[in-house]
Amino acid sequence: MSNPDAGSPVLAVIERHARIRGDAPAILAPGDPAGLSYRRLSGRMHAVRAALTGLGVRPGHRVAVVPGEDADSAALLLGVLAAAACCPVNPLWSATETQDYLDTLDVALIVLADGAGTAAAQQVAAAKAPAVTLRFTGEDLVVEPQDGGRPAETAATGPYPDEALLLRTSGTTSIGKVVSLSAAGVVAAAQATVDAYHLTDSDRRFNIMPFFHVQGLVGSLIASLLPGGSIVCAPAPDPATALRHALDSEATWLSATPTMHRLMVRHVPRDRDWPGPLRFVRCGSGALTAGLRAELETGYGLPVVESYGMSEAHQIASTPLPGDPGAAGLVPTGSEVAVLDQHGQVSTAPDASGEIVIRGANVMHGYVWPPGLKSPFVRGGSAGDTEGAGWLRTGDLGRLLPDGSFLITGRVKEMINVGGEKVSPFEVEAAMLSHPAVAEAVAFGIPDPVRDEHLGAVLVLGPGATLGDEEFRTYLGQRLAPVKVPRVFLRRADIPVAESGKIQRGSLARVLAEELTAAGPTAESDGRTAPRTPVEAMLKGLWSLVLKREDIGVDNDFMALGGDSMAGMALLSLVEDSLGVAITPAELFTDITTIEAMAAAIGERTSGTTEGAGR
Amino acid sequence: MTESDKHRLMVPDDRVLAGGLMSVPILYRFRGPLDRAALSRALDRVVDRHAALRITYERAGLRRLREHVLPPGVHLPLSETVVSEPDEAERLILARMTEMFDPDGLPLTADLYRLADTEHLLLINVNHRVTDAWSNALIRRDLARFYNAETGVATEPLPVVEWLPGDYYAWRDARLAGEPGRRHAEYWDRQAPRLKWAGLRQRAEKFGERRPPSRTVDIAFVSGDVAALRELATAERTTLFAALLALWFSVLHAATEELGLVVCSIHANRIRPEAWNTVGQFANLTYLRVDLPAEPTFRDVLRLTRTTSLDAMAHQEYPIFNVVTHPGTTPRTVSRAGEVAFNMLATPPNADGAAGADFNGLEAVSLPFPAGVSSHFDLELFITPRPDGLSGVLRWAEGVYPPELVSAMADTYASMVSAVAQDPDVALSGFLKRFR
Repeated sequence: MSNPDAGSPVLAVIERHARIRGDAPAILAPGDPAGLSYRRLSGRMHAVRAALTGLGVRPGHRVAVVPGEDADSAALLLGVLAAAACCPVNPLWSATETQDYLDTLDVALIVLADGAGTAAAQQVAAAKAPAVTLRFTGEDLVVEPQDGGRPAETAATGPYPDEALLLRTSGTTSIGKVVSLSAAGVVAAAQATVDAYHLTDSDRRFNIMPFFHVQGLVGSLIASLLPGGSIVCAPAPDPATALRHALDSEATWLSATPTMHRLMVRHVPRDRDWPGPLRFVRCGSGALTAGLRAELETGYGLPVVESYGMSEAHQIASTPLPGDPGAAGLVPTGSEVAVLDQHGQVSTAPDASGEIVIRGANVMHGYVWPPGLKSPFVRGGSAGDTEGAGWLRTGDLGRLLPDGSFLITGRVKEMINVGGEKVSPFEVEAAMLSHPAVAEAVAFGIPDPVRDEHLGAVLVLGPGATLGDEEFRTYLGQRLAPVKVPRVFLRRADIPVAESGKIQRGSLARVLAEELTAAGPTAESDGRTAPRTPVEAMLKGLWSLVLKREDIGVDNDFMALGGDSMAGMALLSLVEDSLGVAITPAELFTDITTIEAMAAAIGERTSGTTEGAGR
Repeated sequence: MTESDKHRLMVPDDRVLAGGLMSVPILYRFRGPLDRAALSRALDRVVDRHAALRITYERAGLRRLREHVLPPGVHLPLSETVVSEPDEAERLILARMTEMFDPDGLPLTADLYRLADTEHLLLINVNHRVTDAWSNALIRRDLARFYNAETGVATEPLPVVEWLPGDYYAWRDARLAGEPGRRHAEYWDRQAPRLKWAGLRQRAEKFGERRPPSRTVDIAFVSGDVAALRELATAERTTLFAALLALWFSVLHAATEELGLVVCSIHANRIRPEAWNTVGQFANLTYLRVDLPAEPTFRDVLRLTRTTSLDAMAHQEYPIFNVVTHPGTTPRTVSRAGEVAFNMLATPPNADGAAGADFNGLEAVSLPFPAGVSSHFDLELFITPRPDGLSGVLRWAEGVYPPELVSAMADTYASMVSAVAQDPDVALSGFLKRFR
């Protein structure tokens, strides 16, 4: 890293465009048609880099950036990216969350964009690293150090010498997982978008995605600049004005999450010369259902492409634009795509299905946080040239198609585990959406003491439509296996989404807990005594698993229900494994012969311990 | 293969490939127009479905072998031999069962013997390393289902194979390392010193000597007696298993006049439902000891058997070879306690004998173990539930007992079933004279 430019392919690209088309606009804002030219952008990136060097930042250091959503923030991020490993921070995180993140990454410096607001300054006040506000005034860069923090020089560097961008993704720790991408990887990822949509210097992206998100920074900003095109930064537009701004700024394409599209498409400006220069719209960061796709195509009157990507690699694949060879599914754009089949083998065979794995220049180095995370890459396996390192497991399930494209069939993590049966929410949603009364539908898992999870669904009915639970269950029963028919339906005016605009199926049960309780549990229909406590409910599940029958009352005798020694041993090992209580076969066949008695015995045997029963 | 399979990759020596003792055969007689190609495809689908049947061995030293699991898609060769008479087929079947498994091949072989255009015998010889009686019942069920599918009959989908063998071993190892393992060890500290000979042998066994070939004698059951036994078992809150085992203890008591009796019992040991559809070697042995009162009645024996077998059941997952490690035992004392065995294996749900022999357009019979092959046990009672009742076979090691003793035991067992069906409180003293 003796020559810093060698490590900054993004700066090299901007400099090249500054030489060839110095006055062409690079970054614009609604109402500012001149915007920032490539020459000025190049100057600002150099100024930022010089300022960081002056503050003690060296290549390999990590520098946090709290961006706004304006053009200056975009220039600032690119400048930091040219000087160090750039760690974008969401200004909406809490102060504790932000401090944890910054301290964990041991950043050398925190850069606040002028557009990030005063809240951002308070947010980083207690972090270990020094903070500085960078403001562009005309062609000058004003550096305003904040108080506190230790010298930047003392910060650590990351494990990867060419680390250029760190992105936070969702995960189980408070910080989640942190993805480390190289500069070359960032450019390769952006290039995937350029290639997929044939972007040129005459394209202009209308951007409503935040810059701390991979789609905003890589797929939008850098992808627009790579071929010499331009980007319009529209901070937090309301849906009604977003499309007007897109027309005003002569954008040729725009991209949003499915939820944002759903909101925007209702506001297509009919009084204007729609769609103007817009060529297509792109939908990313969430699965596009067939129903929404049709709605978007009709509403926008434009080709709609669905992209598939993730922070770990940015864009992986997309449906093709009209004019490109057709495909039944998603066409790989930046990565090689294969599946990890049920036997743990990487397969590229047509019709192979399993977890989607990818490899290519756009794929991350790995996670730098949390420590000790199991490698997300496929390892080992038997010999063969399709095996080996470099295949990243995406956590998505898919099927390869004979035309070289592929379908996403579910999310490994979103698969709902109904008593051991893995149910894909996508499949359930497709069946629900096929009913004419249903406008939107999301399936999700609800924790269940017996079956791990049972299925719930949120429905948004079309205007004026009605649909009874039983009627809908019958309808779904003709299209889905019984286990895939939701037990609880909630009717709502909208689908709850997370801050990022994504539907978080994993947390819906928690978000909707009160409504689910109100929807009520189902009663026993066969007249037998139903479980009255969670332990009895769980035991009933275990009993029905080993006895292969559901008609069990809590006061029925195990032997009378057909329980033999095989079923008995299976039951007792399940009880011990899941509740930590050992019951002997002699007890099961002599004293503890009912669910009721078993629950009581478990209660007695666990009451003295500090650990509660249950898993 | 899962991660958890790794721990059994190294097989200690190549005895696992020996024929005879390691052979767990499936034998069918088919009458009717057999579709040989469909049968071959059905066999391949069975092998595809069960990872254990795709294990191969690689030599990794003088006597060590390394296990590999081949990916699905391997072909199991189905040989076909034209034989002129049943005796010739039986000879070939015995030869196959006693020969060593091919270290480079799959852990099973399939041979078809054609007696006539419409009469065939099929031997599927499976290595005990990867199968047990329960697994063979699964293989029979799956084979019939796949054969029917391959010959165009609409079939129900098979239940999902939930656990691979390695998942089971990993689960068991975790259990044995924890509280259950501690309980089992404690139980065996008490039980192991009480193991003993049954007292039937004419001469002591030479440890390590070659196992003699076995002979069999059938035991017939009257279906009314079986129903009465079932009722008795239910009334005593126990199972038919315990009632039939109590009868076996009663016969051993009559033959030896011993009050302390030890029988080795074989358990399917599938104590997690996730393993119910998995082919693999999970069966385990345990020793059951009863101490009878003087002048016992059958009900006495039944109640003691119930208590003993419930106790043993709680510890059935403890690998029998671990018993040797307990104080008061040697490999020899443990081995000699295995002189007499009782074998009435549970069958997997949906895989009973009838379903396993339903081959499209064929009259198919699943035949019992051929005689002649060696066994680990000297005297082994097999009870097999049939749709119409029970069938029993007494298998014994040739030369170890006088043939007349074995036939007296088989006769006594059959007549004791009838006597107990009429009066559960019958005194056993009346049966002693049959052996004097």
